[in-house]
Amino acid sequence: MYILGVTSCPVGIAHTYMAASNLEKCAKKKGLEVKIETQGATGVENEITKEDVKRADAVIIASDVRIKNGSRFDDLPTLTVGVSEAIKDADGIINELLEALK
Amino acid sequence: MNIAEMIDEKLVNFDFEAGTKDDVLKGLGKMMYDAGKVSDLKQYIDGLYERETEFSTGVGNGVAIPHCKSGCVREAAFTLVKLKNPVEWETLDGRPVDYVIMLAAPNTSDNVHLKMLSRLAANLVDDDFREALKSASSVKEIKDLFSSKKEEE
Repeated sequence: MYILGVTSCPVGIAHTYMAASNLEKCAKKKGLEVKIETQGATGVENEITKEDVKRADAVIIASDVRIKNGSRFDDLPTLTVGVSEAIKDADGIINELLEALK
Repeated sequence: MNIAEMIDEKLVNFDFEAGTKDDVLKGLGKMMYDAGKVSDLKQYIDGLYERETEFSTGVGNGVAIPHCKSGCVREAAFTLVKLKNPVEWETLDGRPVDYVIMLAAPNTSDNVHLKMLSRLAANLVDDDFREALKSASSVKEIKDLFSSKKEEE
C-alpha cells in the first residue's frame, strides 16, 4: 500500500516537520510505502508528483492551514487532521485510514 | 552545514530554574537577546506569546518548542535547556515540560538555517534521539549526538 501525506502549519518551522517525521516513522513501522510532502517556511519539500498520486491508495492531510495545490488529491481517499494530531498520534491516524480503506 | 555547528553554548543550560511557563518564555527569550540572536526583546517575546495562543508548543514527552519567526531575529538559533523542575504547559500528552528547545527564525530567505531548525524538530520524533538529548549533560555530548544523527541520514 502507498500512502501520501502533506503537512503544514502557520509558522512552518517546527510542527510541520515533526508531523511529517512522525507519520513517516509510523507508516514505515507498519510496512507501508509512504511519502510525506512538507509545506513549510522554506517552501515545498519532498513534493508529491502526479506519478505518486496515480500510484497512491490514500492521502493524509495534517494541517491547520489551507494546503497548496490540494486539488491534486481530489480522486484519492483523504483523511484530514490537525497538524498536532499527527505529532501526538500518527499511529492512530494511520490505523483510522487503513480501517476506512477496508 | 549541520545542526551541531549551530549550537551556541550561551543558549545551552542544564539546570534552568523556572516555576512557570511564563518564566520559561521570558527567561529563554532574554537568553536569546543576551546572546545577540534577537534585536528587540519585547517584540520577540510578543511573537512567542502570539504563537502560544495559536496552538500548543508542548509537543509531548516533556519537550516544548516555543518559537517565533520575526524580523527582530538576527540569525536562526535554538536553545537546549533542561529545566530544574518540570513546569505546567499545555502539552499534547498532558505531561509537564522539562526540556525546552526555543527556536528563533529570521524573516529572511536564509533557507539553510531554517532547514536546520526544521530538521532539529523532526529529529525529536525519534525516541532514542530525544531521550539521549534530554539526558545529555555536556555540550560535547550534544554535539556528538547531533553528528551521529547526521551520519545516519
